[in-house]
Amino acid sequence: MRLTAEQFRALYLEHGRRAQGFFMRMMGYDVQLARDMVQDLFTRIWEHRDTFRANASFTTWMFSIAYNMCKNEYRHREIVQTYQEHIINTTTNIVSDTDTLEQQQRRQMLQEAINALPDNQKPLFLLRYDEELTIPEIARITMLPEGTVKTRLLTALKSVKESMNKYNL
Amino acid sequence: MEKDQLKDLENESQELLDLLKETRDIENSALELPAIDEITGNRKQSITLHRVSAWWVAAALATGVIIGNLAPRATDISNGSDYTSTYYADTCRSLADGDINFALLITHL
Repeated sequence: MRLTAEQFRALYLEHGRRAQGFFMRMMGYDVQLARDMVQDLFTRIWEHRDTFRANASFTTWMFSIAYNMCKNEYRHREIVQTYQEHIINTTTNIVSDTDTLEQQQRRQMLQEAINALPDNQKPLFLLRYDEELTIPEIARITMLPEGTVKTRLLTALKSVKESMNKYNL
Repeated sequence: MEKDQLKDLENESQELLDLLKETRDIENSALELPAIDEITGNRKQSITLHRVSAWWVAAALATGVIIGNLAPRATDISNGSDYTSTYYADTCRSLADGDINFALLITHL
C-alpha cells in the first residue's frame, strides 16, 4: 500500500516529535542533530512509502529505520567524548518552568545515567522505557533475540537505578 | 528467569520510570519539529527541476528544427564570414531531416 500525502502528513504530526526526542536522547542531547535526523528519517519514509505494508505497525517500521540511522551515526561520531559538552549546553533548555531545583537535579542525573549506558544498551533502554515498546517489538527493530533484549534491559535498568539511588528512586 | 527478574525490577522502579516518562514529555514538547514541506518539498523540487530541464532541451531542439528549415542550405563555405551561420543551419537541417549525427550535434553544442 502506498502512503498518500495526507496519510504521511498525519503520521508525521503524530510521530515526528516522538522520533525527534528519541534521536535527541540517543545522540547525547544534540538538538540540532536530532532535528536533521528526524528530517532525514521522514524523507526516507516518504521516498519509500511504497514499501509500507498496511497491516504492519508504523511505529515498528519507523523505529527500525531510526535505530539503524543511530547505529550509523555512532559509527561515524564519537558521541561519548562530546556528551559532557552537550549535556551542559542543553540541559537548561529542557527543564520544565515549574521544576524545583531538586526536580531539575533529578532529571539531569537521570539524563546522565542514561547517556552513560553502553551503546548496546542505551537504544534498548530508550525504546522500552521512553517509547514504551514491547520486548518482541524491540527484538524485531534491533534484530536481536528476545533473550538478549531482556538481559541487556535488566543490566541497563539496574545501572540507571543505581545511579538514581541518591534520590531514593 | 530473566523475564521475571526484569518484570520485578520494572515494578520496583516504577517511580524512576514515571520520572523518565515525565522528562520525555517535557523534552519532546520543547522540540521544534521541521516543517513538513521541508521533507516532501525536497522531492517535489527535484521533480520540478527535472521537468524544467526536459522542457529546455525540448524547446532548444524545436527551435533548432525551425531555424534549420527556414535557413538557406549551405553549399558553399568558402566565404569565411558566412561559415558559422551556414554550419549552424546545416546542423539544424540535419535534425529536421531526422538525420541526427550525434558527433556533429555534440560538436555544435
